[in-house]
Amino acid sequence: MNDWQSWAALGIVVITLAIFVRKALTPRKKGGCGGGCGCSHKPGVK
Amino acid sequence: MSAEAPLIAIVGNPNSGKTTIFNQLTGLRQKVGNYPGVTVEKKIGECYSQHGKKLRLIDLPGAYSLNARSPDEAVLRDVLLGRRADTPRPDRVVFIADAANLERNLYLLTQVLELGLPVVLVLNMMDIAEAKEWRIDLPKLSAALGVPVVPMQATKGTGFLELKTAISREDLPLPRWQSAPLPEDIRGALHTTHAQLIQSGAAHAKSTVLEPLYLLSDHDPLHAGIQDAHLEQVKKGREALEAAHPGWEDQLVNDRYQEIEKLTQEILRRPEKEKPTFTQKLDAVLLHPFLGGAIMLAFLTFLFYLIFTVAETPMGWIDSAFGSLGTWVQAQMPEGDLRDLIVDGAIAGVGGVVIFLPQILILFFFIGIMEDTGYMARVAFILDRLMSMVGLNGKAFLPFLSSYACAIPGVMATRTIDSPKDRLITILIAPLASCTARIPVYVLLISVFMPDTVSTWAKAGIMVGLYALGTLGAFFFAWVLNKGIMRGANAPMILEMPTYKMPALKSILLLVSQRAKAFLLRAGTIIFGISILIWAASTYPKNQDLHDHAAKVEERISGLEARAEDPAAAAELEAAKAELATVKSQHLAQSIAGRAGHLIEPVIKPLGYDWKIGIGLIGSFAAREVFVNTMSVVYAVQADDDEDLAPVRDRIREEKRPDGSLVYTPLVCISLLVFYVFAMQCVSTMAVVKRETGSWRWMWFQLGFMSGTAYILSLAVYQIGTLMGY
Repeated sequence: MNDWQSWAALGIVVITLAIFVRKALTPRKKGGCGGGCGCSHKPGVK
Repeated sequence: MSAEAPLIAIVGNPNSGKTTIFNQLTGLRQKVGNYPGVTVEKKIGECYSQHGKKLRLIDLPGAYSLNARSPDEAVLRDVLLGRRADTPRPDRVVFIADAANLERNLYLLTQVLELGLPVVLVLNMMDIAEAKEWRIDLPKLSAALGVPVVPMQATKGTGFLELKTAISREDLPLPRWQSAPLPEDIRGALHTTHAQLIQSGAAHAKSTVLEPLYLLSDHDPLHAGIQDAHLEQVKKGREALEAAHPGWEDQLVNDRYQEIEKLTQEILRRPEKEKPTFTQKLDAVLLHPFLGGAIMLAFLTFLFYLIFTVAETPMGWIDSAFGSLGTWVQAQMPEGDLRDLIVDGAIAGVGGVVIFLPQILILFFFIGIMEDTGYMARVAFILDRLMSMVGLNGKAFLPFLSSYACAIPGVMATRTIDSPKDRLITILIAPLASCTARIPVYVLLISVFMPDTVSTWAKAGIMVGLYALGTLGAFFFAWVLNKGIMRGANAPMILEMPTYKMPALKSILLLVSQRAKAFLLRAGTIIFGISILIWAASTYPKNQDLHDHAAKVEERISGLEARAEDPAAAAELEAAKAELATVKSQHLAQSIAGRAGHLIEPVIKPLGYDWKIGIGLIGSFAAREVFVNTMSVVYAVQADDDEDLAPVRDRIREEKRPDGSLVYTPLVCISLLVFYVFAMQCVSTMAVVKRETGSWRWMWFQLGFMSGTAYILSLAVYQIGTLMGY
């Protein structure tokens, strides 16, 4: 039994989950698809 | 002048080559395309003058006039008038005109010349004007306008030195051009309105009378750039002017056109009878009512044929690379959870998606060729016949086209659509265009139910069919929304046909490399993270009894493998492997993912799906391609060590139900394909739809009608297919 592996795997999972939760809860500064298509820009001021 | 480096605005009609010139000057890599409307927002870059001074360049959306009709045209108006809080008024303007369509380009040019900013006029696409045997008297044009004129062929890089010299001049004169003065009565009324607008804060105190002119003639239904508080004042001003001088706008437009005609007669010589151009000859075939559609379909089928055949070899390399990586990790690490996470989670999950990179790049290479040559605009024209039949605005094509890459830029591009109703309908149907995230799902399922012996042309045909199904579905819903839910007048169709050009390999490779980067970035971040979470959901909570049982069986298998040549041992080995698969499947079933899959199983069972497919459907709610890496991880987790690096396609093909029948029958695969054609399954798109419509209601409506359609059609496919004996 590799206990250290179990703990390390669990740690990675928790960190990954925390990153996703943080990303979901933080207001988006740069949204978009990551394709350099300009979709991260906000619409013009109305 | 601002204290910062001078700001130079790049302005012109749509598809005049602004972004190509902006990219050349700044060394940036903004998207370019041989069709109108590629730039819908301003982009800023830097370059250095001939004297080493820093210059800031701003690439603005193309427009036909400063009388804005859509939000992107309002961006141009507001930047040039200095009305944007986030952008200072430019110090100079580089106006890019399409020399082969000079007369039309002069309308916006003359408006810009009147704004009181130094202007450099670039006559781009001179080669096309020359091919039409047009003779433009450049010195006379320069003298008439009072601005430097630079002839250019941007795609070949000619004229850039002259342009750089011109924009480096700090003593650029103000344009000499002055339109005929506004009729006195209209001018007087404008002055009155101007004073009122300044008083209410709608116009800048130092603005000229042109600012109220362009605010009063704003035809953008969203009135982008005009604050709500000032709209009433602008509306009152327009009504007062219209009451006092009915038809004042038409009069101003006609006056300007008369002056442009006069100027054109002086500076442009055209042959008596213009010969049909290469573009016109080619369009006679490619835009033919029947031939045009047939050629388009043949081209798309050929494209997908190439996607299946050419991509096969690099896909094999990627598969081997991930397989070798997994084997290497297995050899380096002792057995344990971390090793399983790396091999079954990260490597299987990311590898399962990255393997489709060659196909996506081939698709974008051809999209690049279609865009760059100008054929994409012809596809727009052919599809517009269908689009207009269902009541879709002509301007909906570009957003819809962008959605074949990704629905997010597609939804963003709807900002060019004037009518709010048409814009909303386009936003609602855009995600039905088959985006690149669907490609891994399509290719995987097609290769599962169509064995390698089936002709590649047949597979390509199925791909075209799936794209056509999504497209027709989008048109159907546009028709339903138009006729049933959002009645109202449709805007007329305006579609500009660019001339055909030789594709510029550089810009195509730029597009392909940007897509590769975006795809790999996504695989290395989001897909990587999701793979880890799916592994965790498929592994935890751990059942110690099942875990110990699996360990014992694995130990037995190791012993039996050592004497596999003995027939009795070989039979026992097979039985032990089957037992291990059952134990692992039981472990998966009691995991978080397994329980979630079982939870939705009653709902998806009528579609032919089992609970493991249910896990894929839940996982891919975030993004469609996650279905592939979810299935890669799920099947890797339940496989034994020898098999967990096998391609997901092979595992899916062999997956069996408890009764021994295959899970992925052709009917189940088709049902799944239909589901992914119509299902929303993209959280990012939902967020953008919410932002662009400013409403949760439309986002939920879209999710509801797309998911509902996906469910009903998949159900119909499976149930009817089963009744027919498939």
